[in-house]
Amino acid sequence: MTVQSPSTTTHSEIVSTSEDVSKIVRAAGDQRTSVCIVGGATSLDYGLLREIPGFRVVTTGLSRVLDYAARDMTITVEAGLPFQTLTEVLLEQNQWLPLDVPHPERATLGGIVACDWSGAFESGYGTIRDMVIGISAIDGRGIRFSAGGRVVKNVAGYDFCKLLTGSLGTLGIVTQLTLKVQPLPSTRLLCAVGIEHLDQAEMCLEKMVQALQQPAVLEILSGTRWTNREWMPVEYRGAPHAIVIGLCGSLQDVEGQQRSISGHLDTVGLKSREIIGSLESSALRDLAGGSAGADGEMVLMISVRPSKVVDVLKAFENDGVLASSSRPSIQVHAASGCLFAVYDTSPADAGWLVHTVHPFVRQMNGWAHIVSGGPPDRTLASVWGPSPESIRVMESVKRAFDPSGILNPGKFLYRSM
Amino acid sequence: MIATLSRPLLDALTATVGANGLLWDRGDMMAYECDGYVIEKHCPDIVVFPTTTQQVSDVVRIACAFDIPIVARGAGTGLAGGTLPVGGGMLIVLTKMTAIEEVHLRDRYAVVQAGVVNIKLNERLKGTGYHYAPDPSSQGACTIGGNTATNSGGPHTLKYGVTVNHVLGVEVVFSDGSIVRTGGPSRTPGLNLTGAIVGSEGTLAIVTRVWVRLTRLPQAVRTMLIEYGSVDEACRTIGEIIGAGIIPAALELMDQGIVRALEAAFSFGFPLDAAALLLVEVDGIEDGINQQMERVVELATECKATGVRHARDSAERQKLWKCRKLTGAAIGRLAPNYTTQDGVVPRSALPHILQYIANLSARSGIEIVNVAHAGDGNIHPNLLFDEREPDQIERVIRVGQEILEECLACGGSVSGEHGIGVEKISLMDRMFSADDLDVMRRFRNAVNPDGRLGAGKMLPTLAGCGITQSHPRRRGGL
Ligand SMILES: Cc1cc2nc3c(=O)[nH]c(=O)nc-3n(C[C@H](O)[C@H](O)[C@@H](O)COP(=O)(O)OP(=O)(O)OC[C@H]3O[C@@H](n4cnc5c(N)ncnc54)[C@H](O)[C@@H]3O)c2cc1C
Ligand SMILES: Cc1cc2nc3c(=O)[nH]c(=O)nc-3n(C[C@H](O)[C@H](O)[C@H](O)COP(=O)(O)OP(=O)(O)OC[C@H]3O[C@@H](n4cnc5c(N)ncnc54)[C@H](O)[C@@H]3O)c2cc1C
Repeated sequence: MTVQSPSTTTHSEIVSTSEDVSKIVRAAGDQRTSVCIVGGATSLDYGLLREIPGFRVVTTGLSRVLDYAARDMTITVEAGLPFQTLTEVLLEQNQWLPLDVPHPERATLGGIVACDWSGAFESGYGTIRDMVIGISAIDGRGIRFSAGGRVVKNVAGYDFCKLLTGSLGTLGIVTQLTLKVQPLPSTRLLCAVGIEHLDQAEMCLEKMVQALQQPAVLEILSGTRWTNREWMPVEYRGAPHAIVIGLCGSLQDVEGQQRSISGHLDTVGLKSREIIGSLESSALRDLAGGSAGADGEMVLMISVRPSKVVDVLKAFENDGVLASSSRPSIQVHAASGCLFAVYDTSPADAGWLVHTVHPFVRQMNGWAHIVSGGPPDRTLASVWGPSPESIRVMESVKRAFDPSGILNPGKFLYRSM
Repeated sequence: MIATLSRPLLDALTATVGANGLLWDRGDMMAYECDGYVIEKHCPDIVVFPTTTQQVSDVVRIACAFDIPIVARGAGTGLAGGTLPVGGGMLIVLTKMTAIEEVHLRDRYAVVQAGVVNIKLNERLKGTGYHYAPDPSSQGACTIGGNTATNSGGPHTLKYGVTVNHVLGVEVVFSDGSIVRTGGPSRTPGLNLTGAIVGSEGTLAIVTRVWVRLTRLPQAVRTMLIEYGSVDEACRTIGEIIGAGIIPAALELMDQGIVRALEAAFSFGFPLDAAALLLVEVDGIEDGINQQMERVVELATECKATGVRHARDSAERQKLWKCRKLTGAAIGRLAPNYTTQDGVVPRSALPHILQYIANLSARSGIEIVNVAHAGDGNIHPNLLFDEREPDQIERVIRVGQEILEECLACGGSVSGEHGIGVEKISLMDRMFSADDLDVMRRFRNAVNPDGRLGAGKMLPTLAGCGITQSHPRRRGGL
């Protein structure tokens, strides 16, 4: 390929080999301009800067399945492969990558790894971070490097699979991934519990922690935008909150889990109702897309210890510290303590985030950040909040991988670069 | 080697950790010359036992001021020579930092100091319904700090994952003495430094405190020992079990050499003609567990298993595990010395690598007996030798190297759990390209800029590897 230089605006290039990526990065380095990395473009709003002028590397041409060792439960793919395609390939062998990704037909594995989201299945299966066992990427000098491998157990060398996951494209452009996949459980079931008062929610969650096996999905949904969905059991429609529990396993296994959960819920006077359909139902699609936020909506992510989730939810109620004129609908991954508040319109200016939201969450030892939308005057402090204490080390690591600071500059929480 | 242990240095250290927190007499330091990799030995110049993170930080600052290299050490059970103070320097031993500081069952995590012995945490959790899942066979001695530094595994990693999957955050002291916490019980924004520090073998930072995830204990466990007339059939069963969508908690393989050694040593009553044994454990909730177990037996039978022993109660289960865990002691009776390799192959390549090892053994005249965390493809061939015969030592080194190179040729790795340390440093450039290693070096320099921590470990130096493997170790861990 020939690399054209970008004018002052953006120059897009769909890449189909890692050499293409390398060439662009080198050209950008020579021209002292930036490289903006784009996968399926479903989450470009995530991070501080929305638009990065310079070269735009679009990874959708890197979409091959390179090696599917079904018996070893590993698959090696190029980073631009859409999640939906991966799911279809795995399904042929009765396997899956247990994630719930919004816009799966567009979202790429490289994008998923770059964002390292907490999804609804985190309760039972962890995040993408636990699934990447091998990675290849192009660093800020245009050099291709790999770490990990294709085997499920491997401690040779530094674990860049973990380091690059969640680095939002700031350490390298991921070109290839080896993933550890799972057998598809034969039975998957979703049920809901209507909740009137938030104290009941904490009682219910406490019981779930004692259940025989942690449910695969454990979500608190707050606000009628959630509880009025057509898949919500009728008796819980319009309830202020609901808890959705997903169970996976063999038929007997799931029945056993269900009995254990019902027993625990009985003791606190709550009942769970099965949601018609299975985990493939629209309910699950909704849960995946629920925090994705439509255009113009602001999505605020808050992460606290699981036992603090209800305190945070209370803070959004009428007289709470986080109450605002527009009331968000909230989805909580209750097992990990990740909460997503979706506002139809941005509730306030950056000052509210800086002076109210971040201090409130930090005082609970948690973290908040804006993942999409938000005030037009986005700043480091409003989007990412106060710097974590390891920021200095993060910045040194960034310089090691990308000495000229050309990869996705201005997106992440580094104080310069 | 520090030229002299100057009075100001000793005074500064004594003021920090007290006279009881220091060793510098060569005789007193003998125990710190090596770890479980007993062949290479290097006496440290001084050994320091801090009791708090602040002391670790102060000691590191003193080391900086006196320009002394530092190696962190836990219990010293490591099998790759990671704790060798190559070229001398200071050992910082964390074994006095043994507090289990917090246990939060609702939030499923605990906070422990780095020197807590792995099993102590599980003893503390007894009766709660939770456990700390990573269970290296050395768990009675090794520290959680050491487990974190080596990303250690164990028999139950197949289902539960390795240490990194259970570490939520760490508090570390960097080479400039700064104390930094990364991660924790809630998700922290920014780079996942925790994930990179786990498994970094003491070359990035000294781990002083660890936030570990607690896992619900399974309600039901079924353990069985399956006998085979051929290794291939045992391996085929592994593929069939995984192919059927069953992920056992453990899937361990022992070959005929091991069976015979176990019989000779402990008389478990195994048929001596069994070519291989599979120890299979499934766990979960009571409903459905028998069905899972029956399915495993069915698949084993289809693969021509010659016998199945079920543990009927917890005592019998312990006996089956004892047989697995006593393999080390049993091998010790086969030859004066042995060395254990730690390669990994894709599960489906297990029959190939085991056949390769058998051929190599016949060709080289080095007897090899095998155990494997077979579900993960992690093999532990034990190469038997007599260290009084220099020729055998050379052959053992060559054979060990050939096995690991074949693991790489199968698309595997040179280490599944023991780490690189100094032992496998010369194989790093076979597994990784020059560019891969360059990026790893840049990363290490970014975090440990003066190279004071863990010098000469894990990454070969540009001039060649820091240490060449000169001698296999006497004893291995399985
Ligand atoms: C509001 C919101 C809600 C979400 N909800 C969920 C959810 O419920 N469950 C879930 O699993 N995930 C969720 N995600 C995360 C989602 O999985 C990812 O955003 C992912 O799907 C994006 O893929 P993409 O290909 O569209 O990436 P893009 O939108 O193209 O890019 C996203 C970011 O990743 C970087 N990037 C993309 N490809 C690469 C690459 N190859 N190498 C390096 N960097 C790269 C981009 O530079 C950009 O910064 C959510 C994201 C957002 C913003
Ligand atoms: C009989 C036996 C059985 C074994 N079985 C297994 C097994 O099943 N699975 C397995 O994975 N391993 C096994 N091992 C290997 C060993 O036990 C593990 O590697 C263990 O994690 C080492 O812990 P330790 O406290 O002894 O660390 P050490 O041996 O003291 O140190 C190991 C490495 O970690 C570094 N280190 C130690 N503590 C720290 C710290 N606080 N901060 C930074 N760096 C540090 C050291 O510098 C060194 O590089 C076995 C060993 C033996 C002897």
